[in-house]
Amino acid sequence: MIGPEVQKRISSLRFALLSPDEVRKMSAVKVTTADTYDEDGFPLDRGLMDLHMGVIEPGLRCKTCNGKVDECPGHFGHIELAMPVIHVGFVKEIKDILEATCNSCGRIKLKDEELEIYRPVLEKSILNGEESLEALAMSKKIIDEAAQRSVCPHCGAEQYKITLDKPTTFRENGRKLSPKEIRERFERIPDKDLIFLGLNPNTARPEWMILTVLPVPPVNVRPTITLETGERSEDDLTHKLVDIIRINQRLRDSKDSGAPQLIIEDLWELLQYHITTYFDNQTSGLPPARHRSGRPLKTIVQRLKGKEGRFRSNLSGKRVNFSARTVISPEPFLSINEVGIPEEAARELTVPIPVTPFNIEKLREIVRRGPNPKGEKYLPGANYVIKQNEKGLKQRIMIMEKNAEDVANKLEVGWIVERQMMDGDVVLFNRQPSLHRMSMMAHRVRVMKNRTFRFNLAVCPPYNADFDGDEMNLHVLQSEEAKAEARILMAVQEHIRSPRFGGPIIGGVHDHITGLFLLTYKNPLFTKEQVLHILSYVNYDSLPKPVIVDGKEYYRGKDIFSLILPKDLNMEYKAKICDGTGCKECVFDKCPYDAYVMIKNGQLLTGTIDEKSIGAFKGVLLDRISRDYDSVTAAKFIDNFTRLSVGVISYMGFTTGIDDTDIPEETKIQVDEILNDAIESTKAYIDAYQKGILQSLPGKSPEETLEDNIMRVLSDAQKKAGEIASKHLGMENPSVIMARSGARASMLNLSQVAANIGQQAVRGRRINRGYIGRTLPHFKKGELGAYAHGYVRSSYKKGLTPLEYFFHAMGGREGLVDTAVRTSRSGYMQRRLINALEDLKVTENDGLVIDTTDNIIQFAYGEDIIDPTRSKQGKAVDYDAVFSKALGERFFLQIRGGK
Amino acid sequence: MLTIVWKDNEKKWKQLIENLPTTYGVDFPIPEEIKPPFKAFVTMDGSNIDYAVYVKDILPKTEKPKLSRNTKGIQHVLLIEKVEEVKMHVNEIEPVGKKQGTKVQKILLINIEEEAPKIPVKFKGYDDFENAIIEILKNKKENLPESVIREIASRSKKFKLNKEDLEKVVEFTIQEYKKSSVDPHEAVGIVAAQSIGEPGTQLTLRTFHYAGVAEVNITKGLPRLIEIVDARTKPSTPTMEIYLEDDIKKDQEKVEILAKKLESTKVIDVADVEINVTEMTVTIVMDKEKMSKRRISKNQILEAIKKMKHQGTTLTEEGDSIIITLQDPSYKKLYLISEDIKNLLVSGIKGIERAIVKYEESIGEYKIYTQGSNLKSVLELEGVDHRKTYTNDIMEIYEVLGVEAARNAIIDESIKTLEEQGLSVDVRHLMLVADMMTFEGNVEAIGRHGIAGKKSSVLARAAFEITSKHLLQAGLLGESDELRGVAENIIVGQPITLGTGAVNLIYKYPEKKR
Amino acid sequence: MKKVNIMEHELVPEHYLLSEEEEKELLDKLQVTKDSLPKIKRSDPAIKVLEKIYGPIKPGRVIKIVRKSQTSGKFIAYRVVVEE
Repeated sequence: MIGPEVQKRISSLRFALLSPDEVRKMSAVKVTTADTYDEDGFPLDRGLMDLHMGVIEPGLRCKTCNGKVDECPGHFGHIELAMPVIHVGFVKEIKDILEATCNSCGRIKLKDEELEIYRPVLEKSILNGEESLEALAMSKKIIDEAAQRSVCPHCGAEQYKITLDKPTTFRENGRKLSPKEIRERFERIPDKDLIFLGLNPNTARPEWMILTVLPVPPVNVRPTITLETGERSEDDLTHKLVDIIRINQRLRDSKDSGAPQLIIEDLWELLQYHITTYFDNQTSGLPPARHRSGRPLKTIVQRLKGKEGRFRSNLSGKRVNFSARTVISPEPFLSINEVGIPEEAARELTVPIPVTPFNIEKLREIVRRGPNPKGEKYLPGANYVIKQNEKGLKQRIMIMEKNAEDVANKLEVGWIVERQMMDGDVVLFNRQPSLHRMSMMAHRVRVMKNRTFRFNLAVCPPYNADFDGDEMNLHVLQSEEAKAEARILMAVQEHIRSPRFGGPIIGGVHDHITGLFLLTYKNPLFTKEQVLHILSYVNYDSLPKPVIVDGKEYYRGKDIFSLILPKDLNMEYKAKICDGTGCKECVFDKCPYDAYVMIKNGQLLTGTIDEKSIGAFKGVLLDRISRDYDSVTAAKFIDNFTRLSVGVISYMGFTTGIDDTDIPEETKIQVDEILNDAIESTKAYIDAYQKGILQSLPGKSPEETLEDNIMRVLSDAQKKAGEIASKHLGMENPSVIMARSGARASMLNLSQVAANIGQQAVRGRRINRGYIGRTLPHFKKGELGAYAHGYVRSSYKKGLTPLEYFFHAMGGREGLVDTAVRTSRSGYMQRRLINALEDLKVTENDGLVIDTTDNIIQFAYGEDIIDPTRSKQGKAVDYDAVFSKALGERFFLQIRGGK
Repeated sequence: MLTIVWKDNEKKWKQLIENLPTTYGVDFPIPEEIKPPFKAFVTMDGSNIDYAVYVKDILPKTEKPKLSRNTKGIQHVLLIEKVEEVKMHVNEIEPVGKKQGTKVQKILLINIEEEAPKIPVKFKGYDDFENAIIEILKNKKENLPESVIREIASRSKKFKLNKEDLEKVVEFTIQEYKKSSVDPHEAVGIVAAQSIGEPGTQLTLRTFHYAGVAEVNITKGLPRLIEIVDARTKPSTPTMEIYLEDDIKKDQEKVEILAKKLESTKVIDVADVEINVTEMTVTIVMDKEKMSKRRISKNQILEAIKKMKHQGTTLTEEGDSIIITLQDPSYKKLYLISEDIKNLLVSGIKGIERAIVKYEESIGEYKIYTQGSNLKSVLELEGVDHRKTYTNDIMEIYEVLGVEAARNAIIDESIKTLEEQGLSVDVRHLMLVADMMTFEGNVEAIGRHGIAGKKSSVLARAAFEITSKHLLQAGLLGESDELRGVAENIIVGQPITLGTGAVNLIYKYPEKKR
Repeated sequence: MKKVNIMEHELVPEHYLLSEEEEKELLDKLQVTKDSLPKIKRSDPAIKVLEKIYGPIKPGRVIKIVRKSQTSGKFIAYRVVVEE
């Protein structure tokens, strides 16, 4: 049986230092030559590319494990250093230990009795491998104490001050300490003293921090690259190792041939430099080693650090197989759970299916089709078949046209067929930046023609996707366990509500709202033919009851909408088009604006369906359905109303034009008057200020008061002008429909087009920057008037004057820059929050929240053990729903004023 | 309460106790502010306060006392009624004018609590409806959070429900509540971090709010949220919201006076400070105009400077100037003194730069908003309501009101910041962040200097912390990583210990039929 | 200047000292050791007030805190006293 074997878990990782003996033991070859390849291009023996350390070229075999390029994992080698060298990463620890131990007997410079008090804590933590903060702090204290003793309490020898010349030179009392001497001193430190220094004697002897043998990384860690020109280029690490070996060799030769001390010391320092930069090329105090081209080398630490380093770029996040990415486009007739995949992608991406007696015939058929089945309709084929061959190893057979039939016949139970995608497969769909868990959800596949990913528009908000060229990623799940988890936990319908605020995040947007508005506002009438056309987009059980008007049969919009509501739903609320300003007292279901929504037993009796009902974020109807009913029902409801609204709006038609913002002449005159008055007030304030008689607001200077007043006056004028213009924009106006129903835009936008744009602001104040004492040379210095500081009197329709346009651009630019900077700053904050909180989970008993060390962070999650996703806007219980269910009509009567 | 503690010896004291009530002569002066009857304290060794003494009256020294502390030099005669044993340490009293913990040599003037402070209970009891609901819950052996009980009760009252309906309502509520509970093993930390981080992209970076009438500048939006989460010691715009005591909160004039008292004025704000190197003097020239605007008198400046004790200096007045001369010439000292004087507080409370009075319509009272914050001093001011006065400086709240108050402040401030911009984030996420930040008993930052840096896993820190080398070091010296968290399991490549990874499926083999 | 009892401030919840028996009950019910509990420093202003009532409080004692909760109305949490 091929397939996933029983998986074992790694339970823990232990870190330790390598001793020179261990390095020699694990080495496959002792590297002595600095050269890499010989004239034929073959790796040299005992060179840096020796075949004992692994293979990079296909065709060659590793001499240690006899594996080919893809089998051999690589093996370490070693270099015997002529003289010991300090490991730059441990410089701080070396200094601490030198200061804390005696220079002749090697013991810690504290008396035994003083050390005893620390023993229990240190033993418990360090010997168990848990470096607790307490233990660290303790050993630091011990080291500090010991460093101050100038006489060893055990042997009485005098101690001297140790200084560090960055980065790796130690001096004792001015005299340079050679690594050899330091090593000898460290060898004298007894094991029992080590825990006081913060070292675990089982894993780290201090003398191992001074290198005598250097391990050489395997060849595949630093492979040779063949450039297009045919030349071979060595990896940066190999270059560094070459330098090291060369200097090492020279040092050995000099030592053996008895060269003067100075030369030996020089070479030793050079060796130290090379080894230091081999580990970290960005050591402070050292010039980085560079290529001939001047570019600094990328050595070991550089490979691990930072966003592009090993940890963040290859371990915490990796590139994966079985993924796809392309442009997205809208498809209103897909269910919210589905995603449309292009055929080309479906043929490349495969799912591994094990062959069982129950599916072997079906799979044979699929394999027979080969990788490129012909035909108009898309049918899945298969790309690979995996079987166990005679030797018991896995063998992958590529299916092609010529062997498809053959392979299909040979198919046996226990093999694995990698078949192409077909409708119903489970995939993960994702848009970056993935800021919350809804940025990646599980969809069911629908294979379609054309080359974009398609999905239902209602799912746009959680992905924050729009269709202006956005691309999204797709991942095909490979194992049964993954598919099950995705289908149940990550499906789109499970994420209709957001954990952020306990409300729906998948819902109607834009045209959905407009469409349903048109369907239900003031209950329009439809003929039977129209109704059937509209309902063809939706699943419905039966037609609604018709009404007779003027002897003919008609169907009402609200009844059509009621077809998709659950039959036991009872709700009442005010729609978005109710702006609450017009009426003195609410007349509820008798509302003349049709703004009071009343649903009884699944029938929409009064009110208009708009953003307040089914919009993403704000839809209360959507909210109630997703809370009271299961996710399948909620998903179906969303599918239905999106299709219904698209059906309605396509049938009834909807358009907008500039004439939507036309206002009659008298209104224009009124608007002008208001704006003129505002300008006059402004002039009056400026006048008063210049005469020094302006009354200051408390706590503010006259300048600030002036600015505040002007801004307030102009802003009030804009509002008033907007109100007047809005009075003449009624509900037959498509732009107004969109604004009032919540589909897109607001009355502010409309008033800016029709009446007056208003004051532009940068940093909360009027435009001030520009020339000295004035914004533009068109004005005199010191000019304080409205127009001189960014007041735009025109409307978008009238058109802006050049100066107004300039100021408007200034105001707009601020917004753009804000957005750009914001994304990176908030991204960093999110990263830190995630890192700090990622390990917290809720336990099984009583909703306790714990971290990795079982610390109790919260005694009950959220203090009431409620999942924010399932809450109603943060409240544990939807009281309205509970009371309406328990009391029925009584509840609604009470709300409407108790009759 | 102002009183005294004096040192006495064992023998004398035992005698006194045996002869109570008695008159007792003392050889030290009793301050005028202390009037009988009063309670004083006695120590035997100067470090531990051993007895409390109830003094009924102070008699003139002419009266001959039956016993005395010292036969010579009697200043007062005390009529002592009762003596009680107490157990207090000198550290726990507050000497007037001296440091706490000063040992009692002979006599010490102290400030002591009349009685132990009470812990105010902040929860009301339950009314009939609420009790009825609690009964129903007990019968069903179920539990609901208190807020839910109270809400149902208040609504039931409005509807005037009878017992039957109430039971129905409670039953439905229990169902709703259970439906909404959080699942075990849910990765709440990640969800919380995402739910706070995601709206971050919608918070403006712009810190300036269109400053309306009489407002102070407050940092808002994303920078403020980052400040809170980073546990910065001082926010960039510290501000306080001061509520006043009942007797003045509706009186605009009195509130204005208080506000003026708060605004801090430094010497540099009302005078010029000049250094004369040749004569080694620091001259303070008072600016009459500035002084009158801030209502500072010459005396106030003089007093403030006099309080500053600098050794080796002499102070002389010359008209509108004050001259300080150094005895030993030292440039450094001259400079230091002049800097100190410049920043010396003449009036107001340190840290409060501006105080503005605003009338709050919704509650019908006046409030003071300040630029600058000094919670401790302001709370202790007469007229300030120390129950509600608030500051946005979270570290100050931690120092003055304790870690639980800081936790509440973190939650309140972050919710406020988000809601101002129209973003709603569930409190529970912010509660989790606040609880994480205050777990250790103080306020720690979220980043690598705080919580993230203290994680027990080497790999997790290496992946997050930029200097991976730094952490590999700690690891290499013997540390082992138990792979219990999320980041390290991802690096190693195995399922994480949260959510589905925390659970194992066991297959139960069907029983073999015999 | 007036003496201020910080416990009266709105932001400060009720703090109580648990007796040794109550401590044991709590740890048994939660099945944890004191190390796992959230901490409060001995120098915390609230502890200073408690010390005036109960006398000196040694590290290791457990404090019961009754909070006003925005979600559940009333919530009980615990903190163990630690040295600075």
